[in-house]
Amino acid sequence: MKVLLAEDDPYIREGLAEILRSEGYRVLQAEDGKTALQLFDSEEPDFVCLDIMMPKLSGYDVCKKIRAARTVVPIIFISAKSEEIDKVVGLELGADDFIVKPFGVKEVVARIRAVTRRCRAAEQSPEPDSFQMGDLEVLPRELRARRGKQTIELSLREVKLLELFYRHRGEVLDRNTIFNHCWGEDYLPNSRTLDQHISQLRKRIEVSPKQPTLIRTVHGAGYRFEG
Amino acid sequence: MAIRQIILLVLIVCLPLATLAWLGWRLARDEQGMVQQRLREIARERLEDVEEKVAAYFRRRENELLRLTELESHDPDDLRRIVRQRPDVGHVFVLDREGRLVHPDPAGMLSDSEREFLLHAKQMFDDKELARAAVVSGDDDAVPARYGWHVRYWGPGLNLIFYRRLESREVVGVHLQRARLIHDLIAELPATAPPVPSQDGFVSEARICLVNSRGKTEYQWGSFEPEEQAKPLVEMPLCEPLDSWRLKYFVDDQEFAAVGRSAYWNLLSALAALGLGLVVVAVYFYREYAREVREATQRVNFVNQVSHELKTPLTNIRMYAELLESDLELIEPDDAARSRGHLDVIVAESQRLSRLIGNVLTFARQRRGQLSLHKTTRRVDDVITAVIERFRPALRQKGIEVAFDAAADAVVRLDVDALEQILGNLISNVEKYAAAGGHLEITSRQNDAQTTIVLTDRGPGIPTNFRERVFQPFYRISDRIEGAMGTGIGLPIARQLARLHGGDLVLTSSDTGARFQIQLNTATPESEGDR
Amino acid sequence: MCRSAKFWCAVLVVAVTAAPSWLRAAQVKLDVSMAQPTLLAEKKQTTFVKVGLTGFKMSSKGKRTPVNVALVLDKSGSMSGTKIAKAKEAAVWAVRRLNREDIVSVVVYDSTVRVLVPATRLNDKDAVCRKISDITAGGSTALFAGVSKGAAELRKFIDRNRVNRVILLSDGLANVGPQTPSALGELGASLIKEGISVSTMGLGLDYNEDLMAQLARRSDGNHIFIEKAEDLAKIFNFEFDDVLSVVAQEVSITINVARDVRPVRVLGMDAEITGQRVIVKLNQLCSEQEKYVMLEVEVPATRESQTREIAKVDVSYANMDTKTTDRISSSISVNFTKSEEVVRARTDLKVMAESVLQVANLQNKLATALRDKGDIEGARRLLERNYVYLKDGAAKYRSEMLRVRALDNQNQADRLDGRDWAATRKEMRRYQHLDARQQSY
Repeated sequence: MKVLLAEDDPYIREGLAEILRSEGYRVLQAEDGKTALQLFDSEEPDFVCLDIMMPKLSGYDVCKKIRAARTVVPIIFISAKSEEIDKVVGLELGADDFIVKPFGVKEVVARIRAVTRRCRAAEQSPEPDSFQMGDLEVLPRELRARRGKQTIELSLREVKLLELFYRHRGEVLDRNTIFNHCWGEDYLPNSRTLDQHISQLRKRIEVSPKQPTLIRTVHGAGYRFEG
Repeated sequence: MAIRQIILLVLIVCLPLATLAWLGWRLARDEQGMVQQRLREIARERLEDVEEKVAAYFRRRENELLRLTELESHDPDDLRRIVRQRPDVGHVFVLDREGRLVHPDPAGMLSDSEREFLLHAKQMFDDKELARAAVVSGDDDAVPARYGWHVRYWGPGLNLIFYRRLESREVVGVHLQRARLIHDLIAELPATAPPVPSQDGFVSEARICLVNSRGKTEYQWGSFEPEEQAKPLVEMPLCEPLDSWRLKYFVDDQEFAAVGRSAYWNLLSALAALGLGLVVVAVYFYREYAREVREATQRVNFVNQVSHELKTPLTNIRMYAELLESDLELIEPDDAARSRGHLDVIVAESQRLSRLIGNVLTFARQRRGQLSLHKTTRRVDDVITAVIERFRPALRQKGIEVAFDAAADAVVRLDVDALEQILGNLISNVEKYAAAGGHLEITSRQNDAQTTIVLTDRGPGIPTNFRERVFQPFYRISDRIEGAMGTGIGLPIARQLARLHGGDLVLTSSDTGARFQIQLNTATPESEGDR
Repeated sequence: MCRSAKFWCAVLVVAVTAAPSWLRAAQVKLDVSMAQPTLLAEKKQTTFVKVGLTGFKMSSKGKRTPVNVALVLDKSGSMSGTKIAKAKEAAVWAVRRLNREDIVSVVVYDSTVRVLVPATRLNDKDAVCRKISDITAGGSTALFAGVSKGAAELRKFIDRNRVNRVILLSDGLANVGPQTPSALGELGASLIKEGISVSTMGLGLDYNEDLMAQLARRSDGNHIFIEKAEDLAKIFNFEFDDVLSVVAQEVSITINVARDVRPVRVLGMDAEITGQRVIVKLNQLCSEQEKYVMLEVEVPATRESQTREIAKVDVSYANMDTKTTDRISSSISVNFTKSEEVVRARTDLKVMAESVLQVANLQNKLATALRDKGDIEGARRLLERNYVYLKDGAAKYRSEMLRVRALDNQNQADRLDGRDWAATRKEMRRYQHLDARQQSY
């Protein structure tokens, strides 16, 4: 999934981009409103994160123009303006959500995942609604997994990984394959990054992350889902 | 500058002006009326002077004629000599006791002039008017009028006849020649004087006319020339026997109307001065006000600007701290424990800073009356949990244990920021003042439309007499409490927000420490369409 | 007697007879004469008695009666321009003829009267002349008031030993105050009783000549019609000549007509005829100037041999020289003849001529009246008859005066219509006045 991120402060932009990437999204960065619109037209992102106070064109104006072009694209405003009127205006312009600075990473992640769920729910996808991995029921559209009563929130990347493993259950997947499938052309992490992500995933879905039963390490080869 | 203020200033200028203008106009009108009245009186006085002159003249004539009619003989020649010699006498006549004409003898020899006179005065003699006039009332014993004036009209107009009743009951009459009479009056009355420079408020030129019984001017003086149909300012009849004649006093109507107009000019200039003064005052106040408004706006803008400026670095601090946290998770826990501790501090402090800024902003907005809620749908417990999580490092460091008894998990309409701010302020107070208790208990309860959250600590508590005062802005119980820092606006804001949310924040009694109860109106999304 | 005594007697006689010229004070000469001293007998007829008065010469040369004069000038709007300019010039010039002994006042009028110079001794001629020069025209015409104020000024210093005269100059119709000829005439009649005469000068063609003439006639003043403003100075000169040569004032003539003789009328003058008594007042007589009263009387038929007394004349006057009241008397009788020749031969040509003049004057007045009524033809016929009458008289009585007058009448007869009439009428009035009173100019 592609996300257009428009924010003029470089640190915030970089930080948010990093969060989004680690969630598994491809990030298109714009530092002003005009660039944002250009990228929107040329790249057709799946959703948009807009700062309001930007040079050249404000977030409101970008939102208006986007809505004029394609109505269904989810838009999240990220702004320091937290006054009531700003929120109302923002939401009335057709934004889906409004995040106020300073925000927490978890907050951003939760909002983005919520938006993603809505997108994926709307998509026509050949993939089934859920699949089973051992005692884990994975709901890829919802970015969730369930084990009995427990609900586990997953990032997009984690879902993609699980999907990959499920599709190639019983097979060993080497790092390259996993990279190609789940990371795209954005950046090439080293193998250690992959291991860290797998480790993170295990912490999420395994009963005991130190002794994984679902995703097993195959030393020197890669990883495998024992179906 | 708001319309309301402009209207107010305009009113400040216009109302007093209007009132004064109205009052002043009436005053000026009265004054003008008075001045004009005064002028009329002066004119009347002048006419009275004239009338007095004429009256004096007639008194002199009376005396002269009385002496003249002291006749011993009624010899026609003597009588005719009188006529010949006296310029003012036109004719002399004598009536006998029965009122019959004795001289000039109608049957005798008459001059042309005498004949003419008898013709004109025929009726007077036939009717024995004088004989009758010479007796007052029909009473024989009554004293008859001894002498007097009789007016007859013939020829060009009025003719005067002086009659006198002698002891012998004969009547002697003297007919004054008309032209001579007018001539005498003219000689008595003034000529036109050289123009006098007009004094303040006085009309400069006037005309006085002596007008006969037919309305024709017999004589006039004064340098003013009235219009054809002009009306006199004042008029009055002359004394007897010319009471059918009138004196008329003419002035320039326009000049007269303009008299006392100086009062209006004075009024106008006073009003102008006042108006100017008021305008100056209004402008001054407007500028002061505008400046204050500008400054206030600047202050507000400054506050907003500052908070906006602060939020960006805050966001970054927090975000990067959290990024660092997740980075650390990838590292082996034991190695990262100390780093994680450091990170906790950074995150906690940035949250505190956030909260402070939020408080200040809320306070500023509340002062401006611009505080309002924006509700979203949320679970109350989620919010409480999140807040507790944020505070956990700081609380842990202070050795405060948190127990959360959650029973408000319905999805409701809630202003998350407001709740977070309330909780944040209360918990930070616990952190500041009730750390010694070591324990914080939070319970949440919900019914249909209300959520109640109670925070109880085991700190020193708040004395009863301070229970309400703590909610006043800038009030802090004492500086005694060590290490306590604070702006004094935390509790007031928390209560303001709670009340705004349809509920309240109250300090209830407790055995152990302080017990704060938050109540919020949290109607469910199904039942509530809008806020 | 010794020769020296005779000589001295002769000297004495000469001195006594010559004395009158410088010792004996001058007196007015009274001359009562009949037009026809001898009348036709046995016939009732009318004839004329002339009472002539001639002023004497003042006893010392250069001495004259001091005057008290009021100049009354019309400054109404119609006077503006040349008229007022010339009037002021003339007035100034006249004032310069007077001296310190004289009293002058100047009154101007338009709609109202202004006393420009109150009656004052003429110590400062320049001041008076300056005030006169400052006069500007504008307004209507309060003529009566102007004359009244002038007379009032005169009254301040009125003195029977001064010539008291108002000189009125006007160019228009009186329209403020009394404005009829009879009113002004009445005023004149009352003023003369005080010894005040009003001389009236009418300027231009717009004034009311009847009004001005009446005022002058009844107050025994002069009246003149001035056609051009340029003539003003000359006229003023004449008037002042007149004023400065008065020798007698308050002349009262009483004619007691004899019992059987009937006084018919006095020609050309106001007279009070009561029964047999005729009283005429003249205000003044000028030096060496004759004024007369022409009385028409009806004489009853008388037999030839009789002499009838016609009238006894008493005259009293104030003598300006001696400052006394003089009285002179005379009487006149006629005798009768059956011969017309004798009557004719004895006719006093001069007196006769004068009576003709007076009769013609009356006829001229009648002609004016006819023309006023619109009867141009009647007026013309009358004037032409007058012309004939005067011409005959001129021939019969060898009078140049009558001849001139005859031509005047003929002239007037031709100028009775259109624009000429205004001027003609004024001229007629002026001559009527002049002849009736023997005006000097």
